[in-house]
Parts: sequence; structure tokens; C-alpha cells
Amino acid sequence: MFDFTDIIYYILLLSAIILSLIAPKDHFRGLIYLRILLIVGFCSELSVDLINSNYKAVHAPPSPIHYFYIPFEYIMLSVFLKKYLKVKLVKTLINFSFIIYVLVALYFSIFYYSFGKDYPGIIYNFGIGFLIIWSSLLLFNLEFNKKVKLIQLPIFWICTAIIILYSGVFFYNGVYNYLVDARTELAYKLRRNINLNLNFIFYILLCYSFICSIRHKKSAKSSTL
Amino acid sequence: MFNTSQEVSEVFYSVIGGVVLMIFLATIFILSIIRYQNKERKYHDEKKALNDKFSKTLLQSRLEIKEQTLQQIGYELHDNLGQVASLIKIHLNLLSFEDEDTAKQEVDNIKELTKQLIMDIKQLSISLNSERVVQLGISKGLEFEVEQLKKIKNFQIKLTKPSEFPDIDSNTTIILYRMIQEILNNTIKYSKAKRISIDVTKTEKKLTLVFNDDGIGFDLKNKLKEGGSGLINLNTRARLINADFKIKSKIDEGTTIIIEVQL
Ligand SMILES: Nc1ncnc2c1ncn2[C@@H]1O[C@H](COP(=O)(O)OP(=O)(O)OP(=O)(O)O)[C@@H](O)[C@H]1O
Ligand SMILES: [Mg+2]
Repeated sequence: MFDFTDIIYYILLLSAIILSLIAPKDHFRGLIYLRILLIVGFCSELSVDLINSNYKAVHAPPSPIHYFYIPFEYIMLSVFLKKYLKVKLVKTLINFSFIIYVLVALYFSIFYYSFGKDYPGIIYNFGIGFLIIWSSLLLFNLEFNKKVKLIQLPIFWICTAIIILYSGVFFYNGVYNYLVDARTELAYKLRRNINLNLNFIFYILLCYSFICSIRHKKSAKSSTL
Repeated sequence: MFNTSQEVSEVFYSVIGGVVLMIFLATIFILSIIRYQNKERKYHDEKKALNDKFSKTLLQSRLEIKEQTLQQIGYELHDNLGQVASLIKIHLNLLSFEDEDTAKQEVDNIKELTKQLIMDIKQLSISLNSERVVQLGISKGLEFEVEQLKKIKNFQIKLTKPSEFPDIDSNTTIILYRMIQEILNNTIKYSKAKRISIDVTKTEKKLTLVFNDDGIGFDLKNKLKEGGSGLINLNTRARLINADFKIKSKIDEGTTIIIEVQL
């Protein structure tokens, strides 16, 4: 039931979880949200795979779990990014976006998708749009850190990871809706491949950002000694 | 694959939209990095400017300390050594050899005075070496300044300080020392105070110096406008050594100046 790529996926996800647990909480604002997100992500991904274990991975249909996980992911990442955004207006907008997001998600889940059967691409894209805006804003207004170089700044890699993963997914989700009727199998296959590969990049960058913060803590410790 | 031309054009536009989005995000990404690097450059420029300013202030403070030292030497020569030398001269004038006993007495007096003069000169050369004071640190420096003040006039001066002083690097010490001198100079020049107190306290994170006098006080805003580089220098120098600086003064009620040096 698990093929090779699945195993790599789980290894990366688990490494991200472990590194996030090692990463120093005090040196990493909002780390707790990432930890929760990764752990919940792991559980939901695993349960989807177990439920679909009688399908070959490529043919696995979307699962109702996605309908819960996708909004959860949006909220966790937004709350995380909010910790870093300084401008009050943006913070308010993020809070406001939660309400809109939940309403939109509910509307589409009930009236548009047959719950649990379709892949909720529109709901996903809606949150992704917001997430890309928040992380671009954050990246653009990144606070200068005199102790750490840009490429060793965890939040820089997290923003990069979010932008890469979600702009890719966003792009594909648009096309998916057309493909899924005309060529279902191709649509599933593409989704799986794009998702997996983008997720590889995402988790690798996430791992790297945790490693950066672990290194900072070590160097901060040795410099105070 | 697609049934209608409408669907084809929808796919077409969504792909175009996606590509535009990608380009847009890539642009933002690159701009962000450039912007961050500009911030970095600006930070380094500012740091360099600050360093330059620091060395300049350090030099200035050194010169001012020397200048004050010369003044103190002048004062000491005139008021103490000069006095003793005059006394010696008076005794010499009075010296007569008619009565051997009184002459002996006079010579003894002169000897005693000469001894004192020599001791004073030694003392002067030791105590007025400004660099030495700085090497000994703020604690000894404060003691020294208080000694000098006591010589000038009969203020009541009280200095309280902790027995243990933190290590402060020599550059900061020089600037801080000069600040102390400026504050005390102002006090003796303008305050007409009867009582002056200097309280030094120390915690883990900071060293606090509180200068208080019960003199005539002044209006800070007006004096800052009128100019006089002393108060302004105090403020900028405090910032350079990463210290908090506060002046509280009320007319007829005296002046309190607080310096908090971050350790
Ligand atoms: N402790 C004090 N008590 C009363 N007045 C004071 C006191 N300290 C300062 N002042 C007033 O503040 C004014 C400004 O002081 P400041 O040290 O800036 O200039 P200055 O001493 O006149 O000149 P400079 O220090 O440049 O030789 C003084 O002229 C004096 O009137
Ligand atoms: Mg002055």
C-alpha cells in the first residue's frame, strides 16, 4: 500500500516533526503552531492513507479528512505568520480572514462539493491565496536581524517554503477542476505527483529552518559561555 | 479532451493567470531579498558611523579630561603649593641670627614647611595624572573628584558607592568619567548648592549613578535652547555608551541627574 515515494514523504514529515520538537521554543516565535500543524498533518495523512489502503496510491480518491485538515492548516499557518507580522492592519485582516474562510469553506462544502468525494480545490485555493499574501508581506517586511544572516533566518525559509508549495498547488488546483471530469485518472496522478514533490520541497525547507534555529541556539550558548 | 471552446479558453486563462502569479511571486521574492540586503547595508553604515562617532567622542573626552587636569593643577599650584611657598618665604624673611634659639626654631619651621611642600608636589604629580585615574576605574575616579571638590569649597559632599564595582571597558570608563566631571563642574559653577550627594548602586544588569544637589536648579528646556554644549554632550555621550540619562531640575529645588549604564 505504501510505495517508495510515500516512504520518503513520511520520512521527511517525521524528520520535520522531530526537528521542530528539538528546535528551541524561546528562539523561535510561534513554533508551537508549526509543531501542532505537523503532528496533526502526520496523523491525518496517515489515516487517509490507511482508509484508502485498498486503492493503489495513484487512484486514491480525496478523503473527507481533507475537509477538516485544509481549514485547520490555513488557520495554523496564518496564526503562525501573524506572530511575525508587525502591522496592526494586517493582523486585523488575518483575524477577519478566518471568519470569511470558515464561511466560504462551509458554503462550498455544503452546496458545491459532494462532501468527502470531491477534492475541495476551491476551499484550498481560497486559503492558499491568503497565505501567499501574508507570507509575501512578511517576506517583504522582514525585520533585519543583526546577528543572523538572511539565509540562516528560519522565518525566511518558512516563507519561501510556503510560497513555493502553495503557489504550485494554487496553480495546479485551477487546472484540476477541468481535468477531473475529462481525464480523472490523469488529474489524480498529476495531483499526487505535484503535491508530493512540492511537499518534499516544503518539508526539506521546513527542516532546514528548524536546523537553523537549533544552530543559533548553540552558537548563542557558546558565545555567552 | 475539452468539450467546448469555452472550456479551452478557461483553461488557457487559468494557465496564463498561474504563470503571471508565479512571475509576480518571483518578483516579490527577489525584491524582498534586495530590500533585506539594503536594510543590512544601512545597518552596517549606521554601525560604522556610530563607531566613528564613538572614537571621536573618546578622543574629545580624553582631551577634556586633560584640560580639566591642567586646570586642577593650576588651582593646586596657586592655592596650596603657592601658599606653602609664600609661608616659607615669610619665615625666611623673618629669620634673624641674633638669637640662636629662635633662629633654630625658625629653621625647624622652614624645614617642616619645605617637607610639606615636597610632599604636596609628590601628591600632585601622583593624583593629577588623569590617565592613571582612568586606569583605576570609575570608583577611584569618583573618590578623586570628590576630593578635588572638597578642596575647592566647603560643600557637604556625600559619596555612597558599592564596595564591588563592575568591570567597565576602558573606553566607556573614559567617557563616563568625563560625564561625571561635567556634571560636577556644572554643579560647582552654577548650582550654589550646600549639599551634594553622589549615590552609586549596582545590580546585575546596570550601574546607576545619581547626582543630587540642593541648589538653585534650572529650567532644562530653556537651557537646552540657550546652548552650552555641556548638557547636550552629556546626552549624546550617554547614548554612545549605551546608558540611560535623565535630568530632573526644578528652580529653587535643586537638580538630580541619573545615569544608568547597562552592563
Ligand atoms: N546643577 C546645576 N544647577 C543649576 N544650574 C545648572 C546646573 N547644571 C547646569 N545648569 C545650568 O544649565 C546651563 C547649561 O549648562 P551646560 O553645561 O550645558 O553649559 P555650560 O556649563 O554653561 O557650558 P559648557 O559646559 O559648554 O562649558 C548652565 O549655564 C546653568 O545655568
Ligand atoms: Mg557645563
